[in-house]
Amino acid sequence: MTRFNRLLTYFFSATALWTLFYFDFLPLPLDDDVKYYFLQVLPFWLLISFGCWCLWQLGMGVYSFGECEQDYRDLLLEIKMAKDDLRTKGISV
Amino acid sequence: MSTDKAFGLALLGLSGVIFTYYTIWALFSPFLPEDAALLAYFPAREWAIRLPALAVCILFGAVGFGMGVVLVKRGRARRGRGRERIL
Repeated sequence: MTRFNRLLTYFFSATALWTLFYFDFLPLPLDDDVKYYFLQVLPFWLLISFGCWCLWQLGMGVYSFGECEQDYRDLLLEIKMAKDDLRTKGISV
Repeated sequence: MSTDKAFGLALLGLSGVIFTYYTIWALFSPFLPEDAALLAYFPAREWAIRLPALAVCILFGAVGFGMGVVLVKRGRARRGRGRERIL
């Protein structure tokens, strides 16, 4: 099973469970108004949490990016050498 | 610390702040008594639903609009080329 299929399975299982709770097919030991409030807020809370998780992953990636100073300088030097070489051959860079 | 690392940390902090604020607002504030001091920091509770719903609508609208522009442009190009080929 691919990762995407697994994700879809979890998502649709969760949606089915949510629907069962919402339409009283499965009991939930909470007061009526509390139960409906949480069932209605849950999708939006999950959406916001997913957005925050994405932001977190971005931040972690940017923060823990392995800088290679020496490779950066070597690459700039190689680019400069290649440009000079092409200029001698008559190509405008 | 280089600006890249600082930017990464800023993103981490922002995500934590948004998550905590929204969780307290949407999930915990219904349990606080009406005159709790903490509630002064949060807008009315219905906005905890309206703002994400608005954001989703705007996002889908923008994405759909962008897709529509690309599709129309591609359709115009294909129709133009087809006409040349027939003539």
